Amino acid sequence: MRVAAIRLKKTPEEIGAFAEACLRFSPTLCVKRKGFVFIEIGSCHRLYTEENFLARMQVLLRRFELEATVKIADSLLESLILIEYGTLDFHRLPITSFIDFVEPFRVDVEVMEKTLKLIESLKKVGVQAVSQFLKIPLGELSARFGSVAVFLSSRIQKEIGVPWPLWIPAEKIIELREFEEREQFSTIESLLYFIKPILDRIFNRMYGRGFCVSSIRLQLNLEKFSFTKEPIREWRLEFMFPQTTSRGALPIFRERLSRDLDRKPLESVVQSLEFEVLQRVRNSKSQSGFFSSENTEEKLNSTFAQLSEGLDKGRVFRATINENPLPERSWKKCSEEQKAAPDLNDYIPMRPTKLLRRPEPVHIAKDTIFIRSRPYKILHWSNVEQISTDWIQSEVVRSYYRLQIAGKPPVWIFKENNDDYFLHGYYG
Amino acid sequence: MNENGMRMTPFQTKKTSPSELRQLIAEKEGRILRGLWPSSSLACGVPKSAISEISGTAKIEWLAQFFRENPTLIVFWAEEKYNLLPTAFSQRGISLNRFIFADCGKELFVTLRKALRSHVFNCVVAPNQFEEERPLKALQLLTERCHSSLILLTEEIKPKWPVCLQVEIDHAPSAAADDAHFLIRIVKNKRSHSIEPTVIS
Repeated sequence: MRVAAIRLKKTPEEIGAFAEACLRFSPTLCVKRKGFVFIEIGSCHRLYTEENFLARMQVLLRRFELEATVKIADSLLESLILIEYGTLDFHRLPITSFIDFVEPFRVDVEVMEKTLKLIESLKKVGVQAVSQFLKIPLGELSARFGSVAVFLSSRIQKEIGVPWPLWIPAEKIIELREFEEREQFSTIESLLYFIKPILDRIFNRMYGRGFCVSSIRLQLNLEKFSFTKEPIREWRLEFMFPQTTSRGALPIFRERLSRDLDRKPLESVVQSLEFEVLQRVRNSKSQSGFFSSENTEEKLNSTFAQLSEGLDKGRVFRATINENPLPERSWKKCSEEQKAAPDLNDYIPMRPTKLLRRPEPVHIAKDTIFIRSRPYKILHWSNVEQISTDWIQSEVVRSYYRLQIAGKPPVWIFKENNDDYFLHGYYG
Repeated sequence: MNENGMRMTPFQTKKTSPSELRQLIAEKEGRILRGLWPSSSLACGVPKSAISEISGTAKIEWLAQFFRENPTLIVFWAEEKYNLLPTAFSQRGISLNRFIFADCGKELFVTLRKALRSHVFNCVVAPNQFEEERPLKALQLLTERCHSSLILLTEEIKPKWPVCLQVEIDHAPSAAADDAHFLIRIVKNKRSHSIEPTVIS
C-alpha cells in the first residue's frame, strides 16, 4: 500500500470539492481529518508513477487555488506522521506524535485526552522519543500507563492498522464565487475570465467522479439597486453532447451569454455567480484520455455543440441513411454517428449528389429538355428506375431517368403517372 | 556548380522563385505546414493550410472521389441552402460519420470561421459566396493557422489572390453513368512552379 497525504495550508470551506477532483487518482480516499486528504495510490501504480502523481496534484492544487504539502508513505498513518513530523525514524520521532498514532483523525476527544495524559506521564519518567517508549516491556505498559499505552504500542508496531472511513461525495455540485469591489467586469470576455476557473473546478470534480455534464445552470446575482428590474439573471444550458472540459463548454457559454447580454445587458454590478450541475451522465471514456489530452471525438462533439449553438436547431447535423428507395426519405438529420450504415449499392442505383428540395417541372420535347425554360440537348437517356411505395407511406409511383445533357451536369428526372416530368437532382 | 552544370561565381547564388521565398517566410513564421491531400485524378493534390476553388459540372462527384481516397479526413460541409443528398456520398464509399453538414443561410462566413477555429476539421467545404477579397483573406489566414484545407465550390472561376488552387472539373465525355472519369483543368496553382494552365484527363 502507498498512501499520499495532502495537508492543505489553508483549509477551504468545502474540502469535499477538492476531494472529489482527487477521485481521478483513486477511489480510496479519506477526508475525515480536517485539512487533510489521504489517497491510496499504491493500487494504481500501473496507471501512473509517484512523480507523475505529484505533478498532476500540483496542477490540481493550482486549479483550486490551494497550497499544500504532499508526502507519500506505506500507510495512512505513516504518511500522516511523515507530513506532521518530517520523519519516520523512531529515534527522532517525539512522543507528542502519540496523539496522531492513537487518534489520527482527531475526532474522539476522550481518547485524545487520555493520550495527552499518557504523554505527560511518559515525560515525567524521562521518555522523549518513540524508540524509548518501545523499550518499555509490554507487561509493564498496561499496569503503569493503562490500556491506551497498550493500544499505542500495537499501533506503532503496525499490529493494529487505521481503518479507512467511508466518504461519500456531495450529491449536488454547486460552485459559488463572490466578487470584490475591484473585480468588476463590463464585457463578456471579462465575465468569461472569471467563469473559466470555476468551470475548470466543476469539470475536474465531475471527471474525478467519472461523470460529464449534460446540463448546467449559471446564475448571476446583481446588486439590488432601485432601477434593477431583474437582480437575478439565470441561464440553463443543455449541451447537445455531454461536456468533460471547460475547453468545450466555454465557447458555448460565450455564444449564449453574448447573444443574451447583447439583447438585454446587465443592469447593475455582479455580486456573485453560482454554477450548479443539473444533469450529469456517466463518462464512458473517463480513462481513455488518461495518458493523452487529445480526444478527437470529444473535440468533434464539442465543436458540433458550439456550431449548433450559433445556428438554429437542426441546421448543423450529421446524416444517417436508410434503405428507403425514395431519395428524400433515404436519409435523416441526426446528431450522433450511425453505428452501421446499410450498403445500398446492391439494390439502389447511384443517386445524384444534389437533390432539389422541391422537384421542378421540366418540359421534354424530342431530344431537348427545357429546364427553367432554357433548352438543353439530351445526349443520353439511362434505363428507367421504377420507385413505388405503399399506401402507408403515402403512395408514390415514379419513373426515374438519368439524362446526360450538353453543358450541364447529368440530371435526374422523374415521370409521374400523368406523364409530367420533374427535375429532382444533379450528378454534379 | 548549379543545377545546369554551370560554374557559379562566389557572388552568384541559386535563384529562388517568389513562391519559394513566400514559403520560406511563412515557414519561418510557423504559419504553414506544407503538404497536400493526395488525389488519384489530380496530381498536384489538394493543398493543406490553403484555400482551393473548384468549379465545373463534376465538382461534387470529384470531391466524393477525393474523400473516398482520403478516409481519415474529418469534413465540415457548409451550404448556404442545403440540397446535398448524403445517400449519394454513402453510395460512393464515404463514411458519413466523419462529416458534419451545416445549412448556414446568411451566416456562412461566421460558421466557417467557427469551424476552422475549432481545429477539428481537416477539410472544410463551402460555396464561394465571397465577392470581396477581404473575407477570403481572413479565411486564408485562418486555414493557414488551423492547418486545414478550405475548398470553395463556385460556378465560375475568377482571379482571386488568396486562393491557392483553382480547378475546373467536368465529367469526361466518355464517362459512363457510374464512372468517375473527369476532365480537369488547373487554372491556378500557387504551389506549382509552372504558370501555364494544365489539363488532366
